[in-house]
Amino acid sequence: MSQTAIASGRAPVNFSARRLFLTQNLLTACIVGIVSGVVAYWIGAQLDTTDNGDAGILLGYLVGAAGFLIMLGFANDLILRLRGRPSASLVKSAERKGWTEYFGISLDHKVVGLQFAVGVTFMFLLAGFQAMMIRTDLLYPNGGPWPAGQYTTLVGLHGLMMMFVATLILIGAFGNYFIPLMIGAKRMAFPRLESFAFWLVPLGALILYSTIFAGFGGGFNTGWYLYAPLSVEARAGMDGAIVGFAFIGIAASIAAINLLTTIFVMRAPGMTWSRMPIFAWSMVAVEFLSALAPPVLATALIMVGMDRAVQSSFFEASAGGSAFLYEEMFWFFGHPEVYIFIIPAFGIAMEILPVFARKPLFGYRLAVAGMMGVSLMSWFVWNHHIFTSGIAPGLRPFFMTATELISIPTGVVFLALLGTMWRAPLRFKLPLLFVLALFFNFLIGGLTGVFLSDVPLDTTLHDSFFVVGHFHYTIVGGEIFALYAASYFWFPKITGKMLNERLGKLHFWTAFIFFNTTFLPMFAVGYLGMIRRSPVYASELHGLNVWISVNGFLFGFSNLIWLANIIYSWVFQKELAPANPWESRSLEWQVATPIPADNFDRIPTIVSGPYDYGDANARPVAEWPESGSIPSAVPAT
Amino acid sequence: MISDNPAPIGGLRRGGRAHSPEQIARIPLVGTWLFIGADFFFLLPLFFAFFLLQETNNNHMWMPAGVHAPNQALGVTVAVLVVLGILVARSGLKHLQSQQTLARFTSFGRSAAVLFVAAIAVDIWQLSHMGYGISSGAYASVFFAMWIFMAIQVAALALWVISLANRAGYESKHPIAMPGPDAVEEVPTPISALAHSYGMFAMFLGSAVLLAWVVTYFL
Repeated sequence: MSQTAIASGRAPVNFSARRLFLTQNLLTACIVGIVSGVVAYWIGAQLDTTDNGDAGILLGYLVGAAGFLIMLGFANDLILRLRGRPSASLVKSAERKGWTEYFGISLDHKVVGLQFAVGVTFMFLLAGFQAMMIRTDLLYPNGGPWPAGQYTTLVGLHGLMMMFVATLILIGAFGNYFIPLMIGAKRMAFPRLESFAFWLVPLGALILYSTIFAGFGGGFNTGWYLYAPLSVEARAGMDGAIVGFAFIGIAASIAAINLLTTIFVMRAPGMTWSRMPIFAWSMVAVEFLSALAPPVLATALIMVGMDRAVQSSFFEASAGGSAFLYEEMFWFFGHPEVYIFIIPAFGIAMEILPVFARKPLFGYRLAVAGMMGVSLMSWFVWNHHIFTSGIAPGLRPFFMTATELISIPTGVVFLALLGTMWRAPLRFKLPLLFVLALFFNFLIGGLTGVFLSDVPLDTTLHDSFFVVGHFHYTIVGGEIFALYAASYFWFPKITGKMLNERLGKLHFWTAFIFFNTTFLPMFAVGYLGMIRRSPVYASELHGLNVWISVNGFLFGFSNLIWLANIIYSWVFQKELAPANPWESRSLEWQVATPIPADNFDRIPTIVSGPYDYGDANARPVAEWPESGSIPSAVPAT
Repeated sequence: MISDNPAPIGGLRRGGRAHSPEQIARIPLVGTWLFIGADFFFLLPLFFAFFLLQETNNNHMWMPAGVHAPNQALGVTVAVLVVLGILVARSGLKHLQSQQTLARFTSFGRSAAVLFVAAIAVDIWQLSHMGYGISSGAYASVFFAMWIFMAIQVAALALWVISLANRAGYESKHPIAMPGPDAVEEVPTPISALAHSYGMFAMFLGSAVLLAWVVTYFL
């Protein structure tokens, strides 16, 4: 490979058949990844002194992943640096590279943002399909089409994959795409790490799905928690779940460090903390969690892997270990993880609402304090997940109170949303409709969370469908509805096209109605004693379960409308969107569409806040140097 | 409209064509602080496991018969070699401040790398001559995991200092020109900023190694 190609951190693009197999690209990465993984598996199996083969499988996954990443080109810059050469300039040519840049390493945050958006949406649909399979099984009270072992694997795959999706969809797609634009930066702080974080995601997802194939043990039976000692003793499919989950954790942590550094260092002149868009603040609040919590999970998963592969004894009580150790570590990660899902959703809601309320964001500083408060307090509540797991009774009141107190900063965020809507001339466009739906859904999710933090209620309802209803109301009703809102809001900026309004309204009403008719009855079946992760339930609950399943299928269908709208509007719609269709003041709407490769020809100077709506004398948000980027009056092309 | 006059606004220069050299220099520093935070939480569970498993002593298997804290001399050697390596690297950092003395850092950096590699070698030798294996109870599991994690991180520290040493050697012969005030091209990350980041991470890791040594050998 040429020195220039190495220096730029990109593989050269050449599509002659001979070169295709010699250069670093996605095809050779896949081939080398598979071959090196199989060879490492064989070597590991030879060295493994036990009869379970876990060492070989784990080695195969890790070496295969390394081979894949090296052949994509991630080692090039490291080798360059090891040789003492300064890293190549990151300023990109304004000329775009075409569709091929979406299938390799890209240093453009917009490309990586779209990679995240498309990749994680695909994972979302896949995991959603598994939800349909679960609900099909639950149409029958004594077990449906799938054997019990496969049902638990299905639940685990759905849960883990949705965790991957929920962790990365807002941060990976919208955080990477829009944060540099919103703060006036030409690029991310660590563009190669940004791309690395993305490529760990499909790798993690593929490894997770590889667990279902015969020869790797046919799945895993622990649900998404991977609780030890069951995960230590589980069949070989568990190895893939461990590696896949760890990769996603590492990706989340790397992406967080990158986004935080970008926000701390790369802001344009004049972009003071009090002028920063609220979505960027939500990224600050969430990325501290996302940077610091997943490493705890990674270590816990490495310990499980060691217990499986080399017979260490972290979690085997008979050998001096403790299953409680895993639960503590997992939930120390797991509860902040819940806020990793929802804080960006708060940010999106508060970013979108003032645009359609034509009013400044109510209590901007309070809202920031609220999100930071949620972020901080989320470190002190994790033990409420293990009230029934042998926690010292004296600790319960502290964690119960801490969990209940976290509703206060959350309430402050709600107050900011309510205050912004108060007497506002609301424009009921699609992004706003989804924000309002989020508001409604998350209120139910949040209030049922307060119930569950209460020790007596939690002890009664633990591991019931009440809990399933609660977390679906927060994650789907909160985060996924924020995803819908964000997709309708920013689609014109990304593609230059509007999403179809009629299909969008159909999507909104079907999603909102069928989401609620699916998950609201789950509180009832849970209260009536139906436990989660079991394909068998009392026959008295059959009618309610049929209702939930049918409505679940309809909610799944509403997502297909959303997908069809995206494809139709992006590919087939000819009409271009106005440059700033929502009349937003935020900086990302002030640059031309399509956005230039390095965002701003000249970095702007920020002179006022982004939410001065309703003030005829408000200054423009930025001053543009004379030969700077084209302001939003220029139509999208 | 503004001019290209670099008058400060909110602590930063007025907008220009590329990010300023000051911003570029701050990137590795802030990134390293955050990485140290993440690494702290990566290592924390090992210490937590040590104390929780020692306290619970399930089935009296924290330290079953035949398991004991290993040879003190080897533990001291590993810790001393790591700390010495860090001190050597850090004492060489001052040579990175000027173009004239850049090349001097190369020998400091390579000496530090040798000390780190020696520490890893002693660590590996120790782990393979414990008299018991990783499956010999909870203490053994934590001890092996702790020192394998440390060895991997010290190896990363060695590679990082080698890259700095090579960069210092390269830059002493090929000075990097600073771009003009209206340049599109960004200045490459200065070696002094990379070295400062290295110094911060090395101090963190040195503290972690010393803490691991105290915990696993004395508590």
